[in-house]
Amino acid sequence: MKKLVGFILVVCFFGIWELAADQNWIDTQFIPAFSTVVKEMAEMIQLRVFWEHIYYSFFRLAAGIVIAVLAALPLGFLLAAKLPKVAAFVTPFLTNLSLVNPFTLVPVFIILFKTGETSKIVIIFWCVIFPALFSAMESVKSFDPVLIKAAKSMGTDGAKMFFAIILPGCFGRILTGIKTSVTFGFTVLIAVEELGADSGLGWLVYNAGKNYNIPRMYVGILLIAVIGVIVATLLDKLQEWSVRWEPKEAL
Amino acid sequence: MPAPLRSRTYKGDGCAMTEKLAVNGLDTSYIIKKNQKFTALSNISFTVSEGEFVTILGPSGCGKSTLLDVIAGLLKPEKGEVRINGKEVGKPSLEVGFVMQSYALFPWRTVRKNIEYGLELKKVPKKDRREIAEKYLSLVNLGDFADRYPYELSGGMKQRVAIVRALAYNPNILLMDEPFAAVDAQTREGLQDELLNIWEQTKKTIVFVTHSIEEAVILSDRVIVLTENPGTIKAIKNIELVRPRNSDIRGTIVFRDYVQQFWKLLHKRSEDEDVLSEGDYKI
Repeated sequence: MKKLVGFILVVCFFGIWELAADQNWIDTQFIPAFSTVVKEMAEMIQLRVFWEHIYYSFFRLAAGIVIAVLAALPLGFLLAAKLPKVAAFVTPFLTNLSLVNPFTLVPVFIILFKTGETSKIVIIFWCVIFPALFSAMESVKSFDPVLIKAAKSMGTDGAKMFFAIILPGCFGRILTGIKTSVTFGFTVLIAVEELGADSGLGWLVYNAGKNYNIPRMYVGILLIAVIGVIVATLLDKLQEWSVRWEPKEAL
Repeated sequence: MPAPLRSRTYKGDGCAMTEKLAVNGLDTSYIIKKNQKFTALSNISFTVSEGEFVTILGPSGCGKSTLLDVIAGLLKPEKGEVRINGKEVGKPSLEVGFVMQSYALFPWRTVRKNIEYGLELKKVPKKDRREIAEKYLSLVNLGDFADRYPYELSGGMKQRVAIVRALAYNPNILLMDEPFAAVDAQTREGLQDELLNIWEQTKKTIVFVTHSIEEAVILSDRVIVLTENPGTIKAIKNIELVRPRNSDIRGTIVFRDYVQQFWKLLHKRSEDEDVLSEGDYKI
């Protein structure tokens, strides 16, 4: 039912858009008709470069997330479980760092890492690493010591303890922790691509606008919205799967 | 008419059976504050034969659980040593199975995967793991729950899974730390019967910790009574009730007799001579 209403609303939105353009309620020079945008998209999907833009944005996002999570897991585990005193000292500092608006750091990253791939991946990394690290530390800290004892009693230690016990026990919570920041990271990525890149969806929109190719600009905007939804949904599904062993009423 | 219920235990002199576990002169202490030490266990020595069911009985805080931790290798003793099959225990290993009061099932693993955990550590091939898990699942009648997650099980079911998880990798000895303390009285009796049944079938050597006298009498071949602060062995007493047993034994006079005797041992200090019979041991 909810899905149906949502679908109807989306259809209505595009319908009104089309109608407004058709009736000249809006200036089609700046807001072309939905059908014009669709036509433009139909042409674009035949171009290789179009898919490359999507690929670049996706790759940057995925690389940033994966590197951040891979770094946060052992670091969070190390800080929370092995070095709690160090953790107590660095946590306030890390919290302050995490509050720095990533947009303000964009020029810094571009200077440091040039306009290539690295600077974009670093931006995503920056957005995801702190929530990932904090939720990793939190879930390690609140990890049931009885489970550790049970695993230890069977001789589990070191890497095995991390991969077989800590990781599966904490993974779901970490995903929950980074969900919002991934969507935020995607937003920042698009902005960065508009500022300093020669590829990616952000650049596609920016470049289309600069060249006055208005329909193409809207294609980019719609695409970014759609991909944002896909990423969020995928993450939701992954997170649901990762906590499938938790009682449902606790969620 | 106690006579027909008493059966001569086959480990009377302790020489005929192979010695599975030996605890020699164990001392353990904790540092509470700076320069302040709390002695948890003092001069603990006993042996357990292969296939024997021994219970450590004592009030809470007497160091029973600490003793199990030391036997499992989870805790280093200050003095003394623990030997399993003649080998000194240095660190935890698959030599022992450990069952805790709070089940400690891995919540992200299904029942089957929980049982297979120790086998994975042992690097048993997948197909064999499956087979062994099946076998133990049917031993505790949980075959239908193989693919459920722990949160979907009742307390009693969880504890049955925890027991077979510890048995599946075939440890030398099974240590149980107040395993039935968290379940309701009825489930508890059911679990005791089930444990007796498992023990009869697997012939495992079991060291069981409890503060319940009745539980100790129902289950054990021998009961080691600990006193608190510091934890020392007050007495070791044979339970000469017929095997196989089940909860029905609670109604018998011999059973009540034993309970009475242990009650005296735990609560009176000096007049316990009449409680110990020949072959029992006292410090």
